[in-house]
Amino acid sequence: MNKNYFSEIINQFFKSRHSKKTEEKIQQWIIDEENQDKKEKEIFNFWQSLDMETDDNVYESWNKMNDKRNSKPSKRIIKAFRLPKVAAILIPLLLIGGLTFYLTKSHVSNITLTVPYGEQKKIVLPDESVIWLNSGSTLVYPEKFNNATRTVQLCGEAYFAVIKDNSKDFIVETGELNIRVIGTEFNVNAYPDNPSILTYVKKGKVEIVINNETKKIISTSQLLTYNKSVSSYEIIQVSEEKISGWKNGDLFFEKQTLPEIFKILERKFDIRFETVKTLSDDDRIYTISFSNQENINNIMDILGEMARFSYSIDHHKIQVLMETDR
Amino acid sequence: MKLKFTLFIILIHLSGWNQTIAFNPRIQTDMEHATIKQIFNEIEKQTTYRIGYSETDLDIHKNINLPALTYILTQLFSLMLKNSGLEYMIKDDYILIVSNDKKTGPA
Repeated sequence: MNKNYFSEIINQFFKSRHSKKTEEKIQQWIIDEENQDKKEKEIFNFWQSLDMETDDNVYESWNKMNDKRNSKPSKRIIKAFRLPKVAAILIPLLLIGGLTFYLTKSHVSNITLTVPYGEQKKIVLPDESVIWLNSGSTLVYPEKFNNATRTVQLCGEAYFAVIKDNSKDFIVETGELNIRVIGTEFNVNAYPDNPSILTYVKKGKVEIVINNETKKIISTSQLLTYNKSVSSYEIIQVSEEKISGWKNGDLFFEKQTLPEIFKILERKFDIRFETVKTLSDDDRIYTISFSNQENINNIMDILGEMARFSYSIDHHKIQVLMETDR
Repeated sequence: MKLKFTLFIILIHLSGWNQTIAFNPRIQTDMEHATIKQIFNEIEKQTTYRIGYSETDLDIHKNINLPALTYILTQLFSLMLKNSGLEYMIKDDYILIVSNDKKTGPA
């Protein structure tokens, strides 16, 4: 009786059209969970009893129906199965990534400070150490000194007044030369276009590490000059301190050639030496100093008298003509 | 071996004197000799003059005998540059050491 009852309703329903009310009622009855397996079985039987060939129209209808559903059932199943697995991989990854990013960020958030030509800057580091940066120099330092050492990178010239901290050494990295201190005042000249790196200790003691190998300790009033091309160094005692005079605007040249002097003037005054007509005696060395009161014209007048050249200034360009070349 | 200089600045303001030579400080020393470099350092320390030179021309390690007790600045330079082929010139606050054989007027 049961079997007939289900099969009769289903057969009746699919064989012909009925009133809208009746159709809705039957549809409701079909999708009702009660006796679901029996209803599905009878629908399947009815489907099998139909003698129909599958043609293009059938597939077209099938596709249309799927389009209406807006997604293909097969894919949805795969996605549903994958989601927990994907999440299981992604969530830890995201957590680790995010944590790493957060930690890295808080440790190595570096500040890069570049001083343009014609300017100087005085800055205070997170540990209250004070640094004067000369023209055309770059200093990289962390926002906070969280690491075991207080490490900064210098390209150019700077004067360091480092606050003493026995637990955290202060390190200046310049490439070939690293300067390690606890708390002291010193000047480092490490312009990349200079043939040498100069470290002068104003007060205290510093350890200089050359190429991560040789270690040398110099103290108050000593100057270590490291020659980059031959990897050698010399230490001399400086009686008259003029090396860090630049931070007051003074200029001090000692045993320097004209091209070297001109390079320093270019940085200090933001000028350019246009045609230094092949200086016949490039290797002549000069010693002279200028106070911060002097402008570029005064300096060039004095240099011209001393080294025998004439010059002309046009805006930021200087042309030099050696007397011997005339 | 440290040299001790005492500097007396004498202000001889005679009317009609050129400004650049009106201010010629006198230097007194109790040492019998000193290197040119040492003398330069003392001059720069105790006067407003700055000295410019080329070490290619000038031997700053040369020892100079200083028999007298006091020297006028210009005398001191004559003494240091004797027989060197060099001479000094004063331009504003600078004393420049230049060679005297290549002297040419501005073109």
